[in-house]
This record gives sequence, C-alpha cells and structure tokens, in this order.
Amino acid sequence: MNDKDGRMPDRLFPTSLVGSYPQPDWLIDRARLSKMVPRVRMDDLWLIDSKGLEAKQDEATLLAIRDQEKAGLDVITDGEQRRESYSNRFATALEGVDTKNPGTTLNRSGKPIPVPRVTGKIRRRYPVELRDLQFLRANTKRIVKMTVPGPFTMSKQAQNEFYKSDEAMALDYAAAVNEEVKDLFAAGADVVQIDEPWMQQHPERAREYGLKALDRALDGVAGTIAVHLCFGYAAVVHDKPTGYSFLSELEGSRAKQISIEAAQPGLDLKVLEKLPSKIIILGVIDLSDMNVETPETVAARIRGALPYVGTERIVIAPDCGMKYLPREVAFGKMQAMVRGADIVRAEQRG
Amino acid sequence: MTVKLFPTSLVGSYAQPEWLIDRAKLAARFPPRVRAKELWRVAPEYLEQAQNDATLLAIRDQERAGLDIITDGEMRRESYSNRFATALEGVDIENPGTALDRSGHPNPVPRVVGKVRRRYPVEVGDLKFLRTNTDRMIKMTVPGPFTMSQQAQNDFYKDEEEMALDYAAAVNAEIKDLFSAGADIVQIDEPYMQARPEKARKYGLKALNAALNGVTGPTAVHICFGYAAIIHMRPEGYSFLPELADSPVKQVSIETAQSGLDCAVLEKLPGKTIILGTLDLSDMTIETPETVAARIRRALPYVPADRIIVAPDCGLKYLPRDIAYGKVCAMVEGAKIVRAELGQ
Repeated sequence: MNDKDGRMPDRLFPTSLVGSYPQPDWLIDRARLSKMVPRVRMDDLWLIDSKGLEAKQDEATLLAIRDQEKAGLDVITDGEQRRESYSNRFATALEGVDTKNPGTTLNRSGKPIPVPRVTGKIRRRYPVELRDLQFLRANTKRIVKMTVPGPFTMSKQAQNEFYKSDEAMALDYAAAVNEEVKDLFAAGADVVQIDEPWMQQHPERAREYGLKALDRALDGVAGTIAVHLCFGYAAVVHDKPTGYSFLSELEGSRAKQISIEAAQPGLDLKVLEKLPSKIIILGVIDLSDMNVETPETVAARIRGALPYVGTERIVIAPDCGMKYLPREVAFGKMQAMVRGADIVRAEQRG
Repeated sequence: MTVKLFPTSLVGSYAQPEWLIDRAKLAARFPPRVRAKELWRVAPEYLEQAQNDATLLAIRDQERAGLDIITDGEMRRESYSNRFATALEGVDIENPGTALDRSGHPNPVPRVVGKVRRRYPVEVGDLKFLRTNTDRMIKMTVPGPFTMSQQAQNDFYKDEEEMALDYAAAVNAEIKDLFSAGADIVQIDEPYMQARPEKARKYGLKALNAALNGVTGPTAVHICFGYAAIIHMRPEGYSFLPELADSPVKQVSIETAQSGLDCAVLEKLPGKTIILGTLDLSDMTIETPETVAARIRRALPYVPADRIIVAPDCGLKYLPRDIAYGKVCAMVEGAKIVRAELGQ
C-alpha cells in the first residue's frame, strides 16, 4: 500500500465499475427514474418515507458491494445507491443553490430540464459523501473508488443568476469539489473519480474553463484521481458519435486515470495514444445492449486498446454507470467483464 | 458434519429488515397462522426481489459473524410455519377457523376442509437460493406435522391424528425435495410438542416419524417454550423431550439459556446431537462470550462435546437486528472459548 496514492491493484487489467450499479426496485421507483436524470432533488422517487431511507440505502449499498465482490471486481464503488443521479446528491447539498425554485437548462438531448438555480456564492456546507465513503470503506476490504460530480458538469447543470461568468461559478464549484475530494482521501478512499460527462457535450466551454476548473478541484490533492467522460447514459442518449470531441486535452490535467466509453460507440482507440501518461479506465461493456457480452467479446474489446495503451495502464470497466440496467443484466455483464479480463491477462502472461 | 467442535448455527429465523416488513405490527400480534400479507412493506410485484435481497443480507450477517451452518433467516416468512402450512391443498385460508395459541388465546388458523396434500415444493426455491449464495453448510427449516395440526381447525378428518399424518406426508415430500436440492440439514420445527405433550405422545411422535420416513439426510427437530417476545413464562424443564430419543432425527434443538434448563435431561437423548440454545432472547442485552461459554459448559457433563451445536434458544425473528447480530457474534466467540479449553 502506498500512503500517498492509495492502494492500486497489483495485477494487469484490474476491473471496476465506472460508478453506479442498479438500485433495487424496493428502494427507488426505477420506472420513473428511467425517464430522467434528475439535477434537482427528486425525493419522491424513493419508495419510503425519509425516516427509514438511510438504512434502506445502506442495505442496498451492501448488496451492491456484494454483487461486485461476487463478480470478482478489484475496485469497488458504493454503486451510488443513495443517489437519484450521479451529480444531484452533491450538487444540491451546496450553499448558494436554490433547489426549491429551480431554473432550467437544456440537457444533452436538447430538452429543457429543471436544474438548481445559483443565487449566491457556491460553498460546500459539509462533507456530502463522507459517510457514504466511510460506509463503503467499512464494508469491503478491496480497493474503493468514490465518485464526485465535476465542477464543469455541475456548472452546466445549473442556472447562473449570481456569478458574472460561468467560469467564475465553475471555479467555486471546483473549490467545493476540492474540499470534498480531500476529505474522501483522508477518510480512506483509494481512488476518487470526478465525473465530467458534460466536457464531452460542451467541448468549447470545456477548453475555455473546464480544464481550469478541474485543475482547481484537484489543487493540493495527493491521491489517485480519475476523470470520467462519456456520451451520456445509453438509456437516455441514443445516438452516439464514434469519437470524443474533448479528450486529449486531459493529458495535461492532474488526473491520473481517464475513464472513457469505447464499447457502444465503437471508439477508434488510436485516440488513446494522446493520453500517454494516463491510466485508461476502458469501457468494454455496451450499456445499450441488454444481452450480456460473452467474455470473448470483452476480451476482443480489451485487445483493441493494446496497440495504443501499455497493458499496465488499463483498468477494465463498463462504458458508463450501470444505474439504468436491470440488476441481473448488470451482474451478468460484470461477470463477463471479469472473465474477459482474465482471458487477456492469461494471454499476456503467455 | 463440521469437523470442529461446537459448530455454530441459528435455529432458523433472523431479524427481518424494517423496510421489508412492519416489525412493530408483527410483534404486536400472535405469529400469523394464516397469511398476513399486509405486514409486508414492499409492493407485491417487488416483494420477491426484496425478500431475496433481505436473504442475502441475512446470509451476509451470519457469515460475517462466523456461523458454520447458515439458514436463509426465514426472510420470506411471516411466521416459521405459515408459508408452508398455507400453501397446502385441503386448507381454506380465506375463511379461517380458530385455534387456541399456546398462550391460550384464540388465533385465526387455516381451516382444514379436505385432504391435506402438498401441491408443489414450497421451500425448494428458497433452498436453492440459499445454496447458490453461500459456500457454507446450510440448514432449512420446515414446520412439523404435529405443530401444523395444532395450528389448524379440523373440519374434515375424523380425528387430529389422521390429519397430522397427512401433514406428515406433505412434510415428508418436502424434506426429500430439500435434500435433493442440496440441503445439508433439514430441521422440523415442532414447538407445539412442548406445548401439548399429551397429544404429542399420543400421535405427535408417530407423525414426526412418518415425516422422516425414507429420509436419509441429517434431520433436526426444534422444540421450545415459544417466542420470548410473546410467551413470557418459562418452565425450568421440558414436558416433552426424552420421547425424542427413539425418533430417527439426528439433532434435537432445545432452549436452555432463558429457561436455565437443567441439562441433566440431555442424558436422556443418547446418540442425538444437541443444538444447544445459549442465547436468551428475552434479554436485549448482548451476552458476553464468557456467558455463552458458561452455558455451553453446563451441557458438557451430559453431552459429549462432539455432539453439541451452539445456537440461540429459538428464532431471532423478533429481535432488533443489531442486537441479533451482536448476540450471534457473542455466540461464535463463546464457542471459541470452550473449543480452546478442550484443546481445539
């Protein structure tokens, strides 16, 4: 174990989720959830009064951990069982945002959606995910990863009525994320992942100030940081480009790992040559396809990256969060992923 | 059997999660003999998923505590007996009858209006789920024919004995299916043998033997004084126990902790493995491992060490889950103490 960097798996092609795992039907109204990605709070999605909710989320988290361990993943997340979306648990906990009287923004499909209205200076009031991380840490011996929404993405999922520029707002989101990331590492996170899907959606803005905000979020952070970029949930975004509009720019960032989707878009993996110093969290599971991949399909997708990325720089993962998949499909896909990694690992050993 | 001395096990049930079932309502009534669907907190279309998940959590707690023999915690049951008893042919649960509970209070029960027959394997799916989700030795519980006959209103058979023997045939088919599907131990819960010792002697043993007819796997019988949460008085001795010496069951599950049972009675069960109750379920204080160890030692003059399985007095269904977990951990630690004393 390396104190500075947290623990890392010591074998080739370690496996990991991106972040989320399907939530049980007894926890949340999955039918309603499947039609949206909430940016403000949606308390009424949970199938229980708030009194017993945390205990219920705890147990869903134990089950998500169990499924990951049983499937054989090396890096474990909490499956984001406590979240309505990857970003809104953190984004709506901040000072300076009005979630009761939300504003509106266009989502990545171009539809207007309610978002937090920023009416004052953004500040982190308290550690938002700290207990979640502590719970995860207490309940698995494996390497743990925690996800936090990125400052750029949060700034795009908000209506700015306070700051003179979106950049100024993004930098305050970054300061909040920075405090959170430090607290998570201090509490035992091995990897913290910043989810910045909207960098892909708004590449010009991302170049303009997104990278700056990301670096601000990582200021003074010593632990292993990942950044996840994608084209949106397969369940929600159906047409995907075959290449990223924003990716090579991350080579200059402080993040050590870059999480990308490659399976569903059939990504030309040559682009990974442009990230020579980064560990690639390689998406090898197509989340638009409810058929479970064969291990051989997964292995082929891994092999596709080998000409461009050193074997020691690859973590095997799904394309994106598994939140919207049926649980048995998600579990099958995790197993296939682990077996696919086993195949290529064996090949590499010769 | 496990090689180590004093393997640990639940009797059957474990505490169900608050989000799965209304525990306050469950505790405020007699154990359901007919169905009590209103107790479940999850919509019918998601109930099975929720019960599966609760079972995984019960398995996890047992494994984490260090138990050697794992049950499914009876997460899918409103009571230990009604899931099986209400699935049978010949019983009317829509228009229930009445029977006196062991406390003497009337409780709605299935009304037997035709020949009792098992329609389909009732717990085999539960057993397979358990088998799939733990590598340890597993035990499945089924309600006993005598107890079911006491928790029913006989409107069909000429006498209760005849009814009990048909219950026994249903249990027999179930036990054989459970062993075929991978059960390591099947336990028959017969608490009413203690509550109604005269009738138990008259035809209960006969029904039990019929339920075990042709069964080759290891079986257990559990006999107790009733749930601590519901039955508060405890006699110091069993009214029905030595009678089991001649039955083909290999293991007898008894409570000794709350009742302070004089373990000399166990001499009367030579050859049986004793599933020794060492947790007092009326006491919400978690036992120290030393207390558990002392309770194990009390049995040693009367039962060879290699014929003792360490368990709670009864099902943990009615305990708060954190207390249930703490007690099970104490039990495992207590067994370790005595194991070490005997050089293991």
